[in-house]
Order: sequence, then structure tokens, then C-alpha cells
Amino acid sequence: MKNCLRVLRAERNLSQADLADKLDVSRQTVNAIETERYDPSIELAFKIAAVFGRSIEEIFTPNGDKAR
Amino acid sequence: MNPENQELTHNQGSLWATCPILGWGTFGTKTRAERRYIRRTMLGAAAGAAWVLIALALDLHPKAVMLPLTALVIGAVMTNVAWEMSRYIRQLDELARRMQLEALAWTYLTGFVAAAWLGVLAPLSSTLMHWPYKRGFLLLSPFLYHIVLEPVRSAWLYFLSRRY
Repeated sequence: MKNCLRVLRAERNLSQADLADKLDVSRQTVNAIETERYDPSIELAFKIAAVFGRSIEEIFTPNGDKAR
Repeated sequence: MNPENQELTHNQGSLWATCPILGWGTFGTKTRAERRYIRRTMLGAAAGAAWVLIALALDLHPKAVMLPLTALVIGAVMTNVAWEMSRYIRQLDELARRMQLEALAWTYLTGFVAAAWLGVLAPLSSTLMHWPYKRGFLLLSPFLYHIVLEPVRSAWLYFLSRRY
């Protein structure tokens, strides 16, 4: 799944660690999502959307690849 | 995008710590849950190992008491390890939990295959090499099983941590 997390984070001057704190996850989890090596759960996706004040669809888009 | 933002967007890497993964089978985040897991499992294992050494020094005498008591102690130690690990895993975030559970699943399969092959090797060794069978070995085998499988789990966890 593609996402624009890195851009949104940079727009708000947040480091991966800052965002991880807000989401109550590890920095490595934020990194894995940004680099599209891990697709977050629905619950975490909603949290991310809430942090950036966007809808899930605005942040995450399916890339048509098979599910991980 | 200004340079500061460009720095923020730079890939900071996953950097899962290698030493705690290979040493303790944890992520080295030094959370309360991780410290508690390590402390309690080590205390339990040390107490169990001390009991087994004492029992072996006494040659499990009297056997009617010492054998079931030692089995009970080892059972309690292993239950403690499993309980503390489940508590630790429940405290992790979703990716770390997924990696731990994947590592456990792969370790189970590895142990399954290893146990199957040991089942072939054991009768071969007893018939070909006349390896004497000792009853006390049954008491140690849960410890040995754990000691062998923990590095396997850590190795799987390390492998998975490089993927994410």
C-alpha cells in the first residue's frame, strides 16, 4: 500500500520519533509504514489519519500489488 | 520543501537493535514490559536451574519425592517463562508483536522438524552407539529444549527485523 506519510510528517516538522510518540508505537513501526514494508492495521491507520487531520484514503492508496 | 523538512523526510532506517534481539529475544527498547520480562524469566530460570543442580547433587534421593518435585519446579519455571513472554508480547505495538509472533511460529516449525529428526536419531544412537538411557534426562529435557529453541527464536526474530 502506498502512502504519503513522509511528506505529511515533514510538512508538520515531525521526526519519525515524534510521530511514533503521537501514535504510541515504536519509531521502527513508523519507518516500516513509510517505506511501505508494513501495512498498518485499520486502528493504526485511523490514528494516523487523526494525527494529520486527513481521511485514510487521502494518506493510503492501494498499489494493486498482492496483499502482504 | 525547505532543507529542514528534507532532513525530516530522509529515511532514518529501521535500526532494530541487534544485541537484545540475539541475546534476549527482545527489541531492546528498554520499556517497563521488556525489563520485567527479562528480570522475571531470568530469576525463574536461575531458581529452577539451582533446584535441578541441588537435586542432581543429591542424586535425586529420595526418588519418590525428588523426581515429582523437580518435575514440578521445572514445569513452574517453564510456565513462568511462557506467561511472562505472553505479557511482554501483549505490551508491544502491532509491528513488534507481529514480528514476535512470526518468530514464534517459525520457531515452532523449526522445533517440530528438529524433534522429528531427533526421534529418528535417538533409537539409532541407542542401538548403534549403545547410549545409556537415564531417567533424569527427562527432567532436564524441557530446559534443554528451551535453551536450544530460544536462540532459534532469536535468529528468526533477527531475520524478520531486517525485513521491516
